[in-house]
Amino acid sequence: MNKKPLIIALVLIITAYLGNGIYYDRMKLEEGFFLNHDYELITEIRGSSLFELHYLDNRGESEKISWISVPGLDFIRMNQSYIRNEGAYVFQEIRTFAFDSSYMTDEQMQSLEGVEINKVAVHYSNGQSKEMPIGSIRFIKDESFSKRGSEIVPLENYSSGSSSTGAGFNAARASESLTITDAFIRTPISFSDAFCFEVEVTGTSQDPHTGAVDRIHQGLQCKESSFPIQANKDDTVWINHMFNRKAVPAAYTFATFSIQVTGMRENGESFTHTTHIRHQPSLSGDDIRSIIKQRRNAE
Amino acid sequence: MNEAMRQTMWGFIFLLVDIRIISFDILPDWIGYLLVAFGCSKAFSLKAIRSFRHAQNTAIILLLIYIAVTIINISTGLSSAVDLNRPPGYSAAFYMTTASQTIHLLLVFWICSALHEYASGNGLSELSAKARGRWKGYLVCSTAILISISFIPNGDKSLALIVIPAAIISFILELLIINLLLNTAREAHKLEPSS
Repeated sequence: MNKKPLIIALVLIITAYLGNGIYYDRMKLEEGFFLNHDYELITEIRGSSLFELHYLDNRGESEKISWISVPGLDFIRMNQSYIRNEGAYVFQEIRTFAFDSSYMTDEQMQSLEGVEINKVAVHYSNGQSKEMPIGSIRFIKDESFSKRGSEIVPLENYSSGSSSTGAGFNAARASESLTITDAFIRTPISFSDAFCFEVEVTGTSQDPHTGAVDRIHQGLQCKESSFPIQANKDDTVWINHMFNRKAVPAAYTFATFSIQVTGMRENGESFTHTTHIRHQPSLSGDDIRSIIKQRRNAE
Repeated sequence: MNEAMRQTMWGFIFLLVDIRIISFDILPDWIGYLLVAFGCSKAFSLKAIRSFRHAQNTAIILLLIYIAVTIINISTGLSSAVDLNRPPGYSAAFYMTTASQTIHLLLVFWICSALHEYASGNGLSELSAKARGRWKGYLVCSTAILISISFIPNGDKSLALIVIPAAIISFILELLIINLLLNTAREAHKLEPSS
């Protein structure tokens, strides 16, 4: 029987496997790495979760990491890890490492004030360890937290929301007439090119939720806030923000930070109102490819 | 010749049937290849058709591959077993699976080629045409399946659904080869009733 069709078939099969194998190898990472984190954490806040770190690796390879520690800060302990959006990507996976503060004493928590973490030690199942950059985790003290209690604050947070478009809002009700004189990001962030915010005051007659949600869905564009801004009692002060997802890799940063609004109360006293923003980007397959491409270009 | 063909046919039946008890394959493929190698060896000694010798050698190569896999499975424990039916990504196991399936394609070629030659030499034109036809069908379908599978680890998860129709088509193709061997055995029995 004629061998030619068999030879052609074998050549096609070998070519298909070699071609796909080469492509697969090109898409694989030589080594996993941590995505960028920019966390501003407040030492007065004692939730069960302290922070989460997100590690990008080839599928099935992130499990080689047994645990993670913070050099010099042994009391910060990792309590669990899991695959984020399991099966969402063809070649890679994101493993999230969660750190718990429940083991820490108040003294240990307070001792973190002013501390900045830029690296963690990764411990592999084969016994090896390696330090890797993670971005920045800054611990700060928030005076406004210590002052709170029965005291009536001029602005009371009552609602917040965010969407996958990168837009979000935080709403606070004015408990008295006040003047807002400024608003700023408390500590510098690494992704300032990809983030904007605006301050807006709406009256009680307006439905604040509907307006904000509409704006978010329309793809909020930050407006220049012109201070001072007057707010009457029961008005809603909106701090609307947007992460520009086109500004990569900044928009891929996992972030927690604060925006502070300063102003004058009715009695002439100054006040500072703090709003916390949490950014947990939902990364698509294209985002992952873009992150890897930029990392390779940077190397 | 009848007996040799029936032995080869039983080898293919063993390859087709996969009975597992708690992950342990009680009809391992290497037994199937062993029967094929014996059958082809017997056929070559009777008819001196070189394609039977090639088929025998190809079956021995596949036999060795599957014995190696069985040893790996036993030595590493069943939980981490190298399972040629479930390849993870473009790993060594994946390439091993493809290599064994490609060599199996070669085995079918040599068998069909030998049957074609045997049938032509004995004036069995219908059987000869059938051997050629089955080989063409087997070649086209197997090549399409193997090439499709090569894209699975690089594609979306839904691409893995290819495996279901591919498994059904492969099953039918193997049945057709078994049927061809049975037909040859019957014809051989008619030609040589004493055997």
